[in-house]
This record gives sequence, C-alpha cells and structure tokens, in this order.
Amino acid sequence: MIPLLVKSQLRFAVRHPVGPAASFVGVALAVLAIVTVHLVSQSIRAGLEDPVVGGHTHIVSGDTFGEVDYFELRRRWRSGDDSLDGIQAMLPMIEGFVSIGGQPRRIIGFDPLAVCRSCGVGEDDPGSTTGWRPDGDLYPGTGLDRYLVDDVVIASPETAADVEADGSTIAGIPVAVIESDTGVMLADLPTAQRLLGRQGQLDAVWISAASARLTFLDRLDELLPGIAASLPRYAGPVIDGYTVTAKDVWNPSRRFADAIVFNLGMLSLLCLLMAAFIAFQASVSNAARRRTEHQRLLALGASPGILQLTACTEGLIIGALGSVAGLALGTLLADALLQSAGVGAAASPGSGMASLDAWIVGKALVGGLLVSALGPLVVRSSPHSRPRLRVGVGLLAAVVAIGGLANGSLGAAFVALFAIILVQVVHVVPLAGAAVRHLAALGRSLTARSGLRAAAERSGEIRLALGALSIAVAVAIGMDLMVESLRRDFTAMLDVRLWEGINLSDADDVDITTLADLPGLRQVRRYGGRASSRGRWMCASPDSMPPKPPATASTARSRSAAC
Amino acid sequence: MLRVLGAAKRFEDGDTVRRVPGAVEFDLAPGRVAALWGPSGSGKSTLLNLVAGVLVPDEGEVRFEASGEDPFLVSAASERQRVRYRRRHLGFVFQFFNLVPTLTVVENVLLPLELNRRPTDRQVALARLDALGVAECAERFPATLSGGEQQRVAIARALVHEPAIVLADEPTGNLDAANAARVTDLLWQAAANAGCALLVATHSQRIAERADDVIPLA
Ligand SMILES: Nc1ncnc2c1ncn2[C@@H]1O[C@H](COP(=O)(O)OP(=O)(O)O)[C@@H](O)[C@H]1O
Ligand SMILES: [Mg+2]
Repeated sequence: MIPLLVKSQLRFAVRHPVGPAASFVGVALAVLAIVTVHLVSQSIRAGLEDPVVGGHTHIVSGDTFGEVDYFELRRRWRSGDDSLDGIQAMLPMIEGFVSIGGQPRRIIGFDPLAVCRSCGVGEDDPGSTTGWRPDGDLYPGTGLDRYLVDDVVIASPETAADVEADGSTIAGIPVAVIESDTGVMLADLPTAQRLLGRQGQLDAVWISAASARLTFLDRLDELLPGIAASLPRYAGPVIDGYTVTAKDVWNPSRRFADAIVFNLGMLSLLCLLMAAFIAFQASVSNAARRRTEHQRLLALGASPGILQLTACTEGLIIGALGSVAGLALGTLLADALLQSAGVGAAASPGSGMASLDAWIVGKALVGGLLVSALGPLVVRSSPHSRPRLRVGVGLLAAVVAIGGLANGSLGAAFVALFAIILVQVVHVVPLAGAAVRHLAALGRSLTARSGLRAAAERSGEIRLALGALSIAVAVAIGMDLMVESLRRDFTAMLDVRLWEGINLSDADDVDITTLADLPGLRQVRRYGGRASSRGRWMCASPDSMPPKPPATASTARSRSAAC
Repeated sequence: MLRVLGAAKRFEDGDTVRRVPGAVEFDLAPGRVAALWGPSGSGKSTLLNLVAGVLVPDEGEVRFEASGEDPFLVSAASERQRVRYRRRHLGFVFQFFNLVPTLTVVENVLLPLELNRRPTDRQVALARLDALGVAECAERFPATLSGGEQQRVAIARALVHEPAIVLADEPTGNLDAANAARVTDLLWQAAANAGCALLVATHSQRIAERADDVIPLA
C-alpha cells in the first residue's frame, strides 16, 4: 500500500464524485435492503411461528392414525430403529376446533411428557419463542411445563374472556384457563381429546429431526432469509408405514410468510447485484479516465497490483461508509415498517438498534464491502484480457441458467435469472460493442462511419446502458415471479385456513348443486389450489358447529384440522 | 551498463509486418548521455518502453548491469522483476502529462521514494525542486503550473531516487524554444550532478548534438 497513491485516488474521487457517489448509494441501498429484509423476516416469522410446532421439523401421520401408532413409533425410536435415526423429539398431537362463545377456536392437544429422551421437565424459564432447545423450555413461550395437570387450557386473553363468560367450561368440561399470546389454544392430550370428542385418537406425531442437510438449510436460510422455502422440500426421514410431512407444508401460513420473506430476500439480492454493477461501471469509467496517468505510474515503477490495491482501497472505504449508512437506514426502515404494521412491539421487544445482532451486521458489512471492492478487482483482470476466463464464466453461467430454468422451482428461476444477467454482462454486451465496430466499416458516409466508430470506442457507455437494461428486465421478471409465487402461496393458505365444516376429497365428480341442496348446509365451494395435486376437494359450511367429522381418506384427514 | 541488441516490437501493418524500431544496437555507459534521434514514427518511444521493460521485445534483447549486481536481462524478465528494475534503476521524463494531477508538486517528487519504500523526506524533495528553480511551486497542483515548470518538476522527480539511467521522451517537445533550451540545460546539468546516465529520445538535431552519443533511428 502506497499512501501517496491512495491519497491521489481519494483526491480523484473527490474531484470526480459522480462514480463514487453512485457506488455509495448503490451499496447503501443494497445493505438497506438486506438489513430490512432480515429484520422484517425475523419479525414475520416470530409472529407466525406456532409456539408448539416451534422447533419441530416434521409431522408423522398415516392413513389411520391413533395412539397405537404413537406407541409403536416410540417403541421403535427407543429401540434404535434405523429409520428413526436423527429424531430428537417426538410429540403426539391432536388438533381441531371447539366452540367457545359461539366462535370456533383452534385447539392443539399434545402430551407434555413425551417430548424428548434427554430433556428435563419442569424448568421454570419462560425462554425464547423460537427454536427447539432440548435443554430449555419444553414449549417455548407457553410456560406450559409449569402446569402439567389435566383440565388446563392455555388460551389467548380474548378466548379466555369468552371461556370465563361461558362459566369457565368448554363444552361442559371445567377448565382452568391460562393466558397465552397466540390465537391457538393449547391443551394436554386427554383434555383436547375430550373437548374434541375424540377419545383415544391422534392426528399426528410431531418430530424434531436433525440432519446435516437440515442444518445446512438452516444456515443458508440465515444467510438469505426464506431461501429454504424455495428449495425442494426438506427430505424428511422416511419411516416405514407412515407419511412424513415437512412442518411448513403442514403450516401454510408459515409457508406464506416464507414465500414473502424469500421474495423480499431475492429483491435484496437484486439490489446487491445492481450495486455491484454500479460499482463495477464506476471503476471501469474511472480506469478509462485515468489510463494515461496509470501508464505513467506503471513507467515510474508502480506495479499493476499496487494500482489495483489502491482502487480497491477506495472501493472498501466507499463500501464501509455505504454499509454503515445502509445499516442505520435499514434498521430505521424496518422499525417503521413493523410499527406501521402494528407488530413492532409484540414481535421485537427490544426494537430499534437492539434487534441488530452481530450476524446481520456482519452479513451487511461483508455484502457491502464485497460489492464495492468487486468492481476494482474485476476491472484489472477484466475478461477482455482473459478470454479463457470469460468463456469459462459465460459457459458456467449458461449451464446454470438452463439448469435453473429446467428445474422450474422459484429459487431455481431466480438463480437462472442471475446467471442470465451474468451471461449478458460478460458476453452479449461486449459482443454488441464489437458488432458496432464491424458495422462501422459498412457505413455509407464518412460521418456515419465515424459516428459508429466513436460509439464503438465508447462501448463502455453502451455496456452500461445494456447492462442496466438487462438488470431492469431481470427485476421485472423477478417481480413477476414474486407476484406469481405470492399469489399461489396465498391461495394455498386461504384454501387451508378458511374455516369450513366438512371437506370431501377427490370431489371432481361430485355435483355441487346436489350437495348444496342438502339440509343444514349454508355454503358449498369447490377448492383448487394446493390440493389439486392430490385431486380436487371441497368444503362445506354447516349451519352450526358439527362434531369432528370422521376421517375417511388421508387427504381429508390431513386437512381436517384446518378445514 | 545498458546494452540494446536489436530489440524491437513487430507490428502488423495490413499484410506486412513492421519492425519498430529498425535494427538498433548501442551501449550506454554510466554517466553518459545518448540521444535516440529520428523523425516522428521512427520508434523512439517504443524503444524507450523496451528499455524500461514496459514493453517486451518480439526480437533482440535489452540487458542491464549495475555495478556490483548480476546482469539483468530486461527482455526476458518476469513482469514483477521488470517493475522492480524500473522502480529502482530508472527515472522517466515524458513529453506531456508527466505529473500525477491529484498529487501536489512535492508529493509527485516524493512518489518514487515511496514506491521504492524509502524514507520520504520532504527536505530532500524540496532541495531537488530548489535546484531546478521550482521550489515555490511545491504545494501547488500540477494543473496550475506552466509547461516549463511541469517539466522541471518531472526532472526533479526522475532523479529523486538516484536512478542509474534517466529516460527522457521528447522532454522539450511541448515547450517554446527559450523554455526548451532552459529545460535541456537543466536536464543535462541535473543528470551530470547526480552522476546518472541519460537516454533522450528527440527529433531535434540541436538537442541530439549535445549528447555524447547519437543513435540515429530511421
Ligand atoms: N501498439 C501499436 N500498434 C501498432 N503500431 C504501433 C503501436 N505502437 C507503435 N506503433 C507504430 O510504431 C511506430 C513508432 O511509434 P513510436 O515509437 O511512437 O515513434 P516515435 O516515438 O519515434 O514517434 C509508429 O509508426 C506506430 O505506428
Ligand atoms: Mg514518441
């Protein structure tokens, strides 16, 4: 590092501030996007996490599922069955709706003692609301482990008020109500079975499974919030004779949240890409302006490496300033967004700067610094001087693009998008410059030729324009993908969350009008959405709360809790 | 000390291949002044760049030998070695755009010392500038200097790190006659005082005549 060269570089930046300012704004925006998405996604997730499902990764169910199956699973688990390897916790549950004050309320019953092999029971710490921790609170956030008695229901304040008004009974069963801040009521298994009128029955067993793949996906998800939602579903453990479903498939509102978060994350990546492009173009034009000066410096004995290092120093300074600005603005923006959505206080108790942890700060700084130093780094070893590198990068990007498009999933589509942008910037744009140069020879008049040649000489600007255009197109396509995926996931969520009374699976050949004419039915609807892959199904709203319908088919069973 | 044996670049010129410069062969001894003399386009700048190792010859060779050091084959050295050779042993004066516009005059003079990672003593730089009569410009930026002043600063910078050879490419090409004569005098004098050899590329017969040796290029 030569201080005088750095001085000269910085003075140049001050004298020609447009490029550095553009880089600064680009980095700040990208970091702002990253920080905001991270903070907002944390909050969205905290708000939607089912407190009981928290930490559980999969749901085991089966065609006919009952307590016997749970005992069987547990026996196999304890005896060290291979297919149950990696399962850390196992929790039988039943789920359904009970009527309180005329309103249907979702209730989840589970066995508080059946949690895991090694964890203690009765610890008194009302720990955090996220994550399964075998050594911590049994049911994070519920404080349930202090009330391991029958006839206890945990309910939200408003539900609790309704129960009080009903004479402290639910369907005639006396219960003590303990307030919880979720809308879902929790009860121990026998209580829930009794309330639902399904003695001896179970819906599923929640399990917490660990695998290298899951850990990897978790890490990835921390890096790019929501990315895991776009990847092929978690490959859960395969258990003979049972169906294993990933948590987020079971819990569609969580999946919807993931979709939102994922799309926001991709948006922040696009911002990052844009910032990298701006920083790159700023260094290209900087290098072009200082070409003579650099030749002189080379003659004086400055090595190309030193000159590049100097340019990188400027990039790093801009990156650091931009990151700090982005961090501050991102925190403010996230706070403002959460406040305006009315979740600020509930979801992030220590809102504001307190919600910034080392991880997000590190992520933002590294992102900002990389992006801003990338330009100067790439400009010297620019693909022009290394045709083989350029061809290699281009081919790799093309393969990724084709693979991504062929895969068809949302995440892959985004990856393909990025790859296409890369191909554009590395190949198509320089080719356009070369094409203009060749066109120049064909020009009829001398003025036309000189005009075209001048354009080819200034292919830097052409490249900037084309690159910006391709990114704009990519953003448009990305937005489209986003809206489409949000629409799809939202539909799926509505399909499942709409509270209806009865559903029929495989209902393609059922005549709706006949059904609607049945006495006691208020409304009959046909549903598409997510269920279409397993055959269409149908929900009917009865006039009054029916008892839990007996499950007849697997589809109906897995929906029964929600429909 | 410096030996050039037919070093040349080959440039394609339509169907024919041109050798730039034509066959040249010369030695430059310590403290001597040699003039590369030829019309514009004869390859003077190209040859200086070959000597400095900025360009690598397609044929012939350039050899450098400082007292007490192993001979160094510039034309076959790696880029890193050539950078070090240039930094340590050479000083440069160009026809124009000599100085780094974003550094002050005194900083420009200190630059070769810093590139060589030697102590950057402002007094040394100021003394050099004083000897060339431009000490009062020390804190100004190059853009505010006249052409003659800029060339004097360039001479100070070319000599500050005590190189073995100063390469000057049309050092007075941008100056009026009076200034040209003055700058030529200063360059000769400064090189002589520093005891370093001088290789001047010029199309001017008047300047060539002042050299100890003239190497004509055609
Ligand atoms: N990069 C290059 N490509 C093609 N021809 C070149 C290149 N550099 C120099 N030349 C040719 O070499 C000849 C000598 O150039 P130069 O060394 O600048 O001459 P001088 O300095 O004596 O005026 C010129 O005719 C020029 O056309
Ligand atoms: Mg020349």
